[in-house]
Amino acid sequence: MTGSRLSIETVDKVIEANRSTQMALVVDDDAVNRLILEGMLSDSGYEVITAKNGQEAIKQYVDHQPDVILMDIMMPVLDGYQATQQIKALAGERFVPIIFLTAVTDEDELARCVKVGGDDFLTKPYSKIIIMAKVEALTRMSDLYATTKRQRDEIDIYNEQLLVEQKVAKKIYSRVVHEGCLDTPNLKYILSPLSVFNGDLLLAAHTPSGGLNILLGDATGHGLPAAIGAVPVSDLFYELTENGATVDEIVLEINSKLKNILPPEFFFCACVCNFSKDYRLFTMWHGGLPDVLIYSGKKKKLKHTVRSNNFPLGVVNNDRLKTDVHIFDLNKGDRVYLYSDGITEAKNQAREEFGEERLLRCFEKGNSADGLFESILETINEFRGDEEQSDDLTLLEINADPSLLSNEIFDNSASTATLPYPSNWNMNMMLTKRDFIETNPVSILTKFTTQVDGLMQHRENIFIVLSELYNNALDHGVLGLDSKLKSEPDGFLTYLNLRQERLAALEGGYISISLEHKMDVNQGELVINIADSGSGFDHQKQVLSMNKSKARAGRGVSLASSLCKELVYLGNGNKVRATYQWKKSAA
Amino acid sequence: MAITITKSDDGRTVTIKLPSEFDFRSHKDFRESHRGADPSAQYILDFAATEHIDSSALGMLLVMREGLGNDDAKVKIINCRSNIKKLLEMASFDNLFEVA
Repeated sequence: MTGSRLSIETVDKVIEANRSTQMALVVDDDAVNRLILEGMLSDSGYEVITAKNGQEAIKQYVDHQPDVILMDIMMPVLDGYQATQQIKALAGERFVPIIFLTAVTDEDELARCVKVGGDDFLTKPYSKIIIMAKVEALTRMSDLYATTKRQRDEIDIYNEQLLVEQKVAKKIYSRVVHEGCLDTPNLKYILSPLSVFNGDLLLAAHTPSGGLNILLGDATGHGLPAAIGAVPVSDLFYELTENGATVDEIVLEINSKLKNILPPEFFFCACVCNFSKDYRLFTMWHGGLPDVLIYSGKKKKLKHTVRSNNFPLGVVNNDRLKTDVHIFDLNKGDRVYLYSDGITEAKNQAREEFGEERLLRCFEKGNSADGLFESILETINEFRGDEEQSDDLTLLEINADPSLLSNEIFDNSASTATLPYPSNWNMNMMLTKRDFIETNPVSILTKFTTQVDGLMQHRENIFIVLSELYNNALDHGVLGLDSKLKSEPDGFLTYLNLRQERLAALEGGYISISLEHKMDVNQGELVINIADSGSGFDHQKQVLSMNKSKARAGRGVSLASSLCKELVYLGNGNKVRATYQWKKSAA
Repeated sequence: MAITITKSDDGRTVTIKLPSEFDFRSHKDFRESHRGADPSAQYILDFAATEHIDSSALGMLLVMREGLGNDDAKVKIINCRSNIKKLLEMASFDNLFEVA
């Protein structure tokens, strides 16, 4: 677009370049006056046309579109006032400067000149210097006006195109980045787009085993770049969920994709999570979003706030990304809240931020969980008043109540046909320091195991059992970490740091894993044996206190245990055997 | 407030003082502050005056780090307010930058 940067210099250049073609119209019934003015103007390089009265002036204007008009007032046929009115009407949006020529200095008359559309007036006798100064000033103004008008028209056309393009793009975008099953009855959410596209991304899809996967992402920036980044995230999320991928697998796939395609300044803060079909287990990975909140429906207070300690997606390569997931057990009616920083950064008229404290206070009123979502939104809206929104606002509530769901939410028949798979097999694996650091045996084993016909639907459960048992063996067995650490304030981070230190300094140590799989016509059984080189623990005592969630192996093992037919510690506590059993679904 | 840059006498340490709002509007100035910078020098990002940052600030930090050789970059972040420190930790940026 030329001339988009308007400055006085460029306007002057335009005038200079066009000077030879500037045209003036002189309107006067007095031939001598016409001659004088014509002479002055042509001396200064203007092309001059003339008219003897208002009527002729209008005709000349229509025929030649002059750049400036000098207009006498008192003339036969049609006077200067009326001619000016008509010419200005004919000119419409075009700016034609009209200078009145008058012998009088009567203020009322001068005021009338301006009222009918005159831009300036000249009193007789004429001074060449003043006339030329006024004409030039007005033609400069008229050029400026023309340039601005042309630019405005260009911008209008451009804007219109942009809107059409955005509308089409939005249509394509919403087909790819669809909301999945966000209409599931136990979900409540608000997603308010700041522009046509949204920096926040909220996706939900049912897993093959009837659980629910959710991804909340917040891209750096807004609009088009954020939307483009959202496309592969959404694609991968839905595809992987359909294939029964676990949370950590989804995280790794999306991260590697984004790291490859996004420039370094763009990334996605995200939370990827899974709810088991019965909503008793909540598995999450958290990278860069605000704290995830878990509200106890029974106790009417927050029972966990989970802070992110991972990189957002797309920042580092997969080998540096930690994929440790948090696993929580939920009770019926517990609520999980995910939100983007638009909530805590919502501003009021005094430009104060809503902030985390105000948000947390919403949970401290001891209210029933039923109206909590609405009351949070109401509190934020009240706080904001009429203040304009400066970021995307996204809040999601998941109610851990499977009774709200119909049983038809997932379709077993959609499970993909697999190659015939050996029904009775076993495998052993011995892992040492390098494997602990460089591999993720839980993912590999889950992937391998769930290739078995019918076991795919149990993928999340098997992942949790393997994950808990392996991590226990590594953390508490091989590395000798005490899980009590985690319950202290800031203990979780201390724990993770200590874990890293001990892992780096580790000499010797092993974990052996053996899997044994049996299947008959109706049911299958997977026996997981894990042994570690650690000194073990008093597992008799552990079993007794397992439900109190205070024991060494902690909550994780009781979770795993609840999923298995049997889970027992053997030897001096450094061996564990878990038996997972499932019925084959009627094919 | 603009971004100010000071170099130590031997030129080995570059201190970049950030504005009170370190966000997308600082993009150009911040990029200028370390354009063509010597990757072997020590960089200090001083957040003393900074009250707020947004996610594009985190993006800018990543771009700077990449320009200085990623893992070889020597960038230290100092004088963070607690809200900013928390934000950096939430995104695990304390693993990419030395946050003092």
